[in-house]
Amino acid sequence: MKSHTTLIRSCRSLGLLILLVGSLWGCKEPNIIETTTTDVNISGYMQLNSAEFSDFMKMLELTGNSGFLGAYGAYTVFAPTNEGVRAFMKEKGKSALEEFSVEELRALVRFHVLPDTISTPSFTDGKISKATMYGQFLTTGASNANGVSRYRINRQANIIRSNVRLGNGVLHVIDHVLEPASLTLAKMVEQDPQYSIFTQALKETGFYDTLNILPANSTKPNRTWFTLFAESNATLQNSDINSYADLKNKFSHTGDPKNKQDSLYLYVAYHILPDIKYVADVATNPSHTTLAPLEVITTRVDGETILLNADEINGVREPGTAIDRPVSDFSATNGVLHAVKTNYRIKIRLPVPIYWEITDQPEIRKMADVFRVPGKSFSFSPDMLQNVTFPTKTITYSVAGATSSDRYVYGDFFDVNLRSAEVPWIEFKSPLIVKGRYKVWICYRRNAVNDQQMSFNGEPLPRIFGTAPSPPYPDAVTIDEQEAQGWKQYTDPKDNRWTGRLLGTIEVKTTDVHTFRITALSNRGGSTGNRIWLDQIHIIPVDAPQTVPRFKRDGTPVFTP
Amino acid sequence: MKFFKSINKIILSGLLLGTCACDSWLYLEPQDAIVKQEFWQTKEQVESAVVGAYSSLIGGTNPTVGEQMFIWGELRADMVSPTPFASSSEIEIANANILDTNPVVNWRAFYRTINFCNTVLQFAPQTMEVDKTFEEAKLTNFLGEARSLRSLMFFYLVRSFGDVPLKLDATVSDDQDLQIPKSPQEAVLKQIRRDLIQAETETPITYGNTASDKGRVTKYTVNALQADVYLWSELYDSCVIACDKIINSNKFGLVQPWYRTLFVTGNSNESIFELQYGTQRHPFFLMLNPVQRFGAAPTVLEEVYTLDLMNPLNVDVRADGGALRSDGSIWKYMGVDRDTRRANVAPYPNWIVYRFADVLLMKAEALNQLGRGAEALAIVEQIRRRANALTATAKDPDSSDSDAIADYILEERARELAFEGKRWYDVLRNAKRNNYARQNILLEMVAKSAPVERQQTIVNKYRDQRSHYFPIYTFELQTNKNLVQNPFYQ
Repeated sequence: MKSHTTLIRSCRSLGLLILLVGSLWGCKEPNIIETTTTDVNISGYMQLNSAEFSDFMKMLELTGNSGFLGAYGAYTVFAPTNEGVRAFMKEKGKSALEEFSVEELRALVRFHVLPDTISTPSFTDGKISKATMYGQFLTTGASNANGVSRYRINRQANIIRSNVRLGNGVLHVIDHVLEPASLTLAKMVEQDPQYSIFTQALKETGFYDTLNILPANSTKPNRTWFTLFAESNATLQNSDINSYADLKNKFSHTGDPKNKQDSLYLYVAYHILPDIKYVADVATNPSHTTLAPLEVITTRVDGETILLNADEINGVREPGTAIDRPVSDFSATNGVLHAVKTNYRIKIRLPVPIYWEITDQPEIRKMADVFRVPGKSFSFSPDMLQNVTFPTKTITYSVAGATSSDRYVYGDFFDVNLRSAEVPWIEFKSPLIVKGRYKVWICYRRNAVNDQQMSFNGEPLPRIFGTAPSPPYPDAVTIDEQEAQGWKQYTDPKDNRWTGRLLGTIEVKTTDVHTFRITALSNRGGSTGNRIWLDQIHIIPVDAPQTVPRFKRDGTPVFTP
Repeated sequence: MKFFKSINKIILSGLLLGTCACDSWLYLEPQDAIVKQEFWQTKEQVESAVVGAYSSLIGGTNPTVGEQMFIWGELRADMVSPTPFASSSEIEIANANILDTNPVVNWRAFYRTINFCNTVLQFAPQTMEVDKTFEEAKLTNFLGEARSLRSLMFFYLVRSFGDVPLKLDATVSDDQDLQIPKSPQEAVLKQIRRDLIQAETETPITYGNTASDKGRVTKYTVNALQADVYLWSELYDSCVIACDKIINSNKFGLVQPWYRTLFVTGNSNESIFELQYGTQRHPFFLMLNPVQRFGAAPTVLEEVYTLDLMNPLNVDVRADGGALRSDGSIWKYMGVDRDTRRANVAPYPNWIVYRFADVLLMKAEALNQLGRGAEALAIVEQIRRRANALTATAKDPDSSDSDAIADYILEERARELAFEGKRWYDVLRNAKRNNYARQNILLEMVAKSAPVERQQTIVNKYRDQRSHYFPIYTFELQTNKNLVQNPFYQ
């Protein structure tokens, strides 16, 4: 019996011992993961890949910036690899990052960070839409070397790895350090001996000082960033300008280039745009204002060439001047420098009358079986014509039948139900109008339609036309008196159903394409009734004859009154 | 007593042993599908598997193979431009901003069809032992169809991605190793050529009815695909031989009227292989109607076809009212005639994969590379005459100027096969010939159709030959660790 109890007792204590040991060993710390994600922020990523980024991280540390790239936010960082940083140090003749001043390093670091997430799909040929934290813009592009294409940033570094998405932004790995521009536009042009004549012109007209101000120091609102189209000595030589004296003789008419009215002053001003536009940005807009008051340059893309001022004026095509792309897109601290291949200047253009056939639209011309084919018509909905816009419903392009007695010029016209319940307004983009003062005549088939008012670039013209009852055509008086009352017959033979109505005088301030809008002011007639039939718009300089020429149905002008 | 005690033990142990055999209790078969062990019993089942491979081309995935044939073949080229209604991924493809997260580069639909074909090839032969009415000739036909369809799929993959995994066995079990690495382009092409030579002996000449002759693979389909593959592989003699087999059969011709017979009625005397949509929505009706995601590029009517301004009645039949309309919309398959739009209801038109005009132009391209320029020009004339091509687009190159003739054939292909999913592959094939001797063809096309603010970037990207192929979709990279991404996209 005794051995039985001791056996039990020893079993019990053995059991307890096993339990005790087991509980100590079995009690592992549960592995509680406190983070919600394994994503790292930019600093964290660079730490994980410190073999690549240790030098850049050192730069961040020395400038006190390592903290903010680890915190939350939305940044884009172009991180140079260690090779890139070392190549940069070698180029500057320094052996360690500590040898740079903190200011220099800070500027560099700021130039590599953008305050927004930008990934490669939004790269264009020009600048990244947001400036770096340093204040200057970075340009993008692609370059091909030995059959391998890479994204190139600022023409200084290639992207090795792109679009690494991290917790607080995007990281792109680049193979060189990006260096910000250190010269202003003025100094950049000055230090290139190829631009010596142009530099002197800049100095003599005073624009050198304008282009020498840093953006942070500028006092005028639209004078922070500039784009300069410079002409090299070789370009000027092609136009027989071999020295500054030649340039001054050719262009300066008062002899004082600093005078704001002097044409040399205006010539230089015409080469400067008041904003930073890289070649890709220049190409996307059809016209740009310059520093010359009210003078614009127009742009046209021809294959891979960007042409300035290649316009068609009055049927004559001007060749324009091409941007010399390999020597353009040079960033300065306050703008960008481009070069052009041929000399260009402000063209003195005299206002010419425009007898604008509004139905002559490129999309309609393409429809060879409808365009000016007697009896044909076609309905257009709002987005089909690039130069004619209207909000809803449709407009019809119609051509009068071969045997009809209609007098529309070329036989065709727009048939629009212009009233607030149908097509409330219709807007036309005009051809190029040279600046000046013009009288605007609307030429249409006179009928009792709805009250219409035309506006030019948003400003309404005084006379309202198309009213009902329609005022009678003043047949009984002379042509001059008719003109004084604001009427003319514009067709040949004359027919007082087809009239031109004088709507007002416009001041065209810039030689450019402008918009004319006809707005309906009333809402008479059923859903199909009271349509207006528009033929032409005449834009005639105020001092030119208004009532001639008249036009035959086939378009031939007739100059007898 | 002892016996009764142990009887409990005996009963318990007996129960224990008995329950071990109860595995089959836990074995459930799917209620709504047939398992592999119960399929492959009759020849009708084999036929339904083959037809299933065909229907996988027109449905079952989003996007379908038919849709991707169009998008992969046209979006990077200059005939189609995305409208503002296109998805951002499609616009990025058109702008050469292709990231591997872009769903357009997902090749899943193609590999699904390849798997169906592989399944037929692997399991159909065993049916012959079970079904005694299944004749060897019929089995051979089915195997030929599956082999050709598989080759067609691989041909699209190889032209779009370069190096792709070559999967020739069916995926039937979890135990298989699905982590297959890529095979080089040349190896895949070799396999395709080998398969097609075998398929040519296996496929029938006719099925007895037009719909099957055009909708299923016949010997002529194999020949047409061979011509395309040989042309891509720069084996011009073999290409001419394959084309001649089709031409000399006298079963195909150039039809009139062009629009109605080919794209409205379908299954015409000119077509060789068409995807038979019918009740399934044709890809254009997913992409162009009611919301138009793609339109004809603005230069197509004026520069590719041109207009006769003197005589508006003299038109290229394939231009306005044919392939496109002057308002910029794509018109092939979308209209009943020049003016009336086809309703977005079944029955839908078919999608032509190969037709006789294509074969003739492929022969012309091969002849030109063999130095037989005059014969090539004669073929181009034949195509142009049928369509009343305008004199403004006529060129008269010297019959020994093979570059000029190659350009002329490329232009005529653009006119004849507009929007049929061929343009990008045609341009790439001509550009990469002879180790990219004429890469400029591609660069010029891209410079013209690129948006102006990215033009230089896009042209420089295309100078890198690896950018001519798509990246592998991220999902594929994540699930198959043996796949290496195209280095251009890393």
